[in-house]
Amino acid sequence: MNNEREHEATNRPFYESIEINKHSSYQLFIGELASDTLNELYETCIHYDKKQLCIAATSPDIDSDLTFFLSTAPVNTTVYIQGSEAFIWKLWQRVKVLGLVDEQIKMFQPENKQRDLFCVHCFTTTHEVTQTPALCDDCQRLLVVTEHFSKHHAAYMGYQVNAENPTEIPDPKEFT
Amino acid sequence: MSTNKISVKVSAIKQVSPSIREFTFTSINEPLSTFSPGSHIIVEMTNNEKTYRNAYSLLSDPFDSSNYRIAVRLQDNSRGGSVYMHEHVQVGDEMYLSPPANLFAPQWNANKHLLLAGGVGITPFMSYLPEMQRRNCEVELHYMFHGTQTGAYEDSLKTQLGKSFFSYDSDLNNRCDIEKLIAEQPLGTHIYICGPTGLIEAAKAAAEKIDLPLTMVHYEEFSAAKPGKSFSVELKSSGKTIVVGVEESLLEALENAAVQIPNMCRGGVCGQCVCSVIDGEIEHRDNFLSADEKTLNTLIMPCVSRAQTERIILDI
Repeated sequence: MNNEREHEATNRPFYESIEINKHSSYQLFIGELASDTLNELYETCIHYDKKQLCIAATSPDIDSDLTFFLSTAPVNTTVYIQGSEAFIWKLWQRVKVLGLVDEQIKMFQPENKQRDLFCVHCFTTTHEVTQTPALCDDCQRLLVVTEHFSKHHAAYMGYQVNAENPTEIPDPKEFT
Repeated sequence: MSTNKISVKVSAIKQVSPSIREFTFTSINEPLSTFSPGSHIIVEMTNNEKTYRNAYSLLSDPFDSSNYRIAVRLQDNSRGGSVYMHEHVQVGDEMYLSPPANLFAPQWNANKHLLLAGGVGITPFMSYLPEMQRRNCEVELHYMFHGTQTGAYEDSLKTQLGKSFFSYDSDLNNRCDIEKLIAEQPLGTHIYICGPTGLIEAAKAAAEKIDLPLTMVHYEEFSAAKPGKSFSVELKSSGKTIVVGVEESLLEALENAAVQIPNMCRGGVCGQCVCSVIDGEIEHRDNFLSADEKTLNTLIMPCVSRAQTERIILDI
């Protein structure tokens, strides 16, 4: 069993426990929704004048918030992101463009098991999928939701279930 | 050299500071290729029947293939490479170079490039600047030197960069506050250092102090091999024994005995020339092997490292 695990392909992101970069001059906390864990972490930061909490659910435009907060940020900024897996990776893309490197982006374990699903046939992303197989919103194919996560699409790759005989449908399986 | 050598003629020599000479090479047969900013070449020097090969950064515009230019500082503790370049090489001489290779390319996705040069370490940045200016990159150059020795190209860099150029002549007691400089940079700044180990270590320490990831700090650490005690090396495959002279590197001694070892930087960073050690104590001088690998004493980088014992056996 151990051997099997060692040889398992690691195509899903791994989330480490969050530690504050104590010497960062600016700490930016971004949550998809307001949450106690994010708030608590925010409160533990001693540099009150050099931190910012930003909640996407209550912001009319999270993208312009990020551009605003980070446009004058110092070189040693750290960003902390909490939310669904699709949310945190979309934000990861945004902050990378603004100049952060991976080590400056800390991501919480995703808040739920939902996945965004990228259809490799029509290139459409279906949101908040909870089980496999799942229907593509656009081309209506029934897709196997793979364990292969694309950071670029912030979604898991999905392909036609039983391509040679699509009438044979496996039992649905919830994500764990 | 691992790849095909380029035959060139020395077309100009210029004293650019009290201890630095600039050499211009033009091709004899085929045209020279353009190169990427930060590239270096290896110059082959033959003196007293021994061949030395040192790596030097190209300092010309990477798009200009009409010639290659390098700057060589006369080193105090040298095996003769820089002395040879300064005292023996004349305009009109024919020499061999390796094609350009790059271990110090810019990070083009950076928001800003902060360049820290120490003395002759200015050279790779001189190939960065034309391309960064073509791409409209935000760039700042901080140039530290001893005015009585180094400080080449100060005036032309000032003209080229204007307000983005800062110079510090330590002989005039003008020093750069590395810690403050790095801490006040904007988000997305990548830092590049070429210069003495002390400068590299100071910049790394300044970055660590403010939790700045070291993936944003880039440096060119290689420098030519230093001399050491003579020793002999036995090759397992042939049983042949080769003597490595005081002024020679192990890699050069192997090459002079017609044993070809793949190599690129010849300065202990790229890892290409690694060899397995069967017996003998190694004096590790490279920046490639980890501390654990060095303790194990089973690998050696022959471009810079030497034997502590009188004899070593290599598995080649």
